[in-house]
Amino acid sequence: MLRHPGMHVALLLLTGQFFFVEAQPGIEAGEEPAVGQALGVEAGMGGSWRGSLPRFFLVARYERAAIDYSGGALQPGYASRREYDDLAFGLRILIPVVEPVRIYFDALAGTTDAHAQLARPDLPMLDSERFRPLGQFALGLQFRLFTHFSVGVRAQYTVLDHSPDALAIAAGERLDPSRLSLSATLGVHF
Amino acid sequence: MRRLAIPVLLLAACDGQDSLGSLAFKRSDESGAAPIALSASTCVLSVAASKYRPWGLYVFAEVPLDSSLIGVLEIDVPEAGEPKPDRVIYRELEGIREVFHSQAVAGQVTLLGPPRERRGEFELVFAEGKKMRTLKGSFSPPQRDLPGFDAGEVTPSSGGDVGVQVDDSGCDSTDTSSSDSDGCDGSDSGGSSSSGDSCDGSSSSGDSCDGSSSGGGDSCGGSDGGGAGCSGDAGGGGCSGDAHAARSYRLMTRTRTPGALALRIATWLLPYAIVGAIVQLWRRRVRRRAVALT
Repeated sequence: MLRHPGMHVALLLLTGQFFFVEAQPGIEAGEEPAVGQALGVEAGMGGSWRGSLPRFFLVARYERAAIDYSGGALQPGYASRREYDDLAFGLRILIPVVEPVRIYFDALAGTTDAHAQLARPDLPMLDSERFRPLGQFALGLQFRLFTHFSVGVRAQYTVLDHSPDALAIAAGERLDPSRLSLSATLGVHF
Repeated sequence: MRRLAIPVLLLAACDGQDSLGSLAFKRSDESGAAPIALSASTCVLSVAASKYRPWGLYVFAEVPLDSSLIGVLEIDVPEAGEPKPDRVIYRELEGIREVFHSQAVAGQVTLLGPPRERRGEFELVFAEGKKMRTLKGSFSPPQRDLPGFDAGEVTPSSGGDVGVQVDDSGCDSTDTSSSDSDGCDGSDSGGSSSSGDSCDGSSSSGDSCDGSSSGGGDSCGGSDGGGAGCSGDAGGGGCSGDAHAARSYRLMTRTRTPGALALRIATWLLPYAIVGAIVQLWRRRVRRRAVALT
């Protein structure tokens, strides 16, 4: 019966964990000198070759972040809010260090739906919505406490395009087209 | 089709980005002095920041007027429909102090093509109490010549319309050679004047005034200053019957021909069709190789 190829696959799936889903609540420093909240969800599928220490996963990731700012980089009285909905796909390389500790590296590419608002005294509020390409690089530490559950921490650097931003120009500020986030991770493996 | 989703998404991400541009205008005030030609030191053109996106255009420009004074012009107009009164603004700043601020505007903005082309002309009169600023100029994205504008003095009008015209008829070819500015470099353009007809007179002016006074090509903005025009804002027996004076915003009817719409849709679809064709060719080639190997 085990000679049937389908049975091999079924047995493999029953004995190992090849999928994961992670929730990643955290904080994010945006294009402006401000910090806001972020929540990411990442799912992946993969494993390792026989005898290979690193494990490879194809991953998809969604993140929503919102950052408010009203500091000195803007003109007096101005306040901005920037929201990002990121969708990215890429690769995770996970290396078991000492059980149950693993480190991983993510590289992703995708797009973000960037929504910005600029409130100005005595002037109408400006808002902008546009899709922007992005790249994400993350380094994470994972503690596989149980077979099907892990916790961890993650640092992520997001690179955005350098195109001009109408709201930033209207506010008299210069944006840094990158974001940095720190998050906790709660993972389910199956 | 699903395989094409990501490239399509990435292509879409590249569309509609904000871009720096050029803007120049001739400015005159209530003193009656000759208009001065000026060009923007900063100018950004954005469909994404328009209240009317994706069928509108937002223009923000900072224009040095002298060593300490900066003019800030904001224009946010829809391709079709009526612009909001508070979305066309002109301010003059001395440091952070405003010496002029007006959202009471009359005049006209003409988009030369769809908003994503980011080219246009404007002829606007801003009022703040007894102060008045008349701006007549044009804007365009980088690497494109500024559309020319009529060098003649704009007649200030105390009451008028802001209208939007979209000229799909290629009007820009008439006078691009006569633009009078070098763009956003902050230098004065020397006051050389443009000549030739502006698009205002040549495109869709006949149907711009609710059909009531198509006349000889005068736009509403210019014709209603004396109260006899077609806007009817200031009690001039006009068309609309509204009775508020300087802050009236009415649309000058836009002519969108089905042919232009079809052409626009075709230009949107063309990149995706090319990507699809390349993918198909590549798959066919792979199949041929596989057959050859077997």
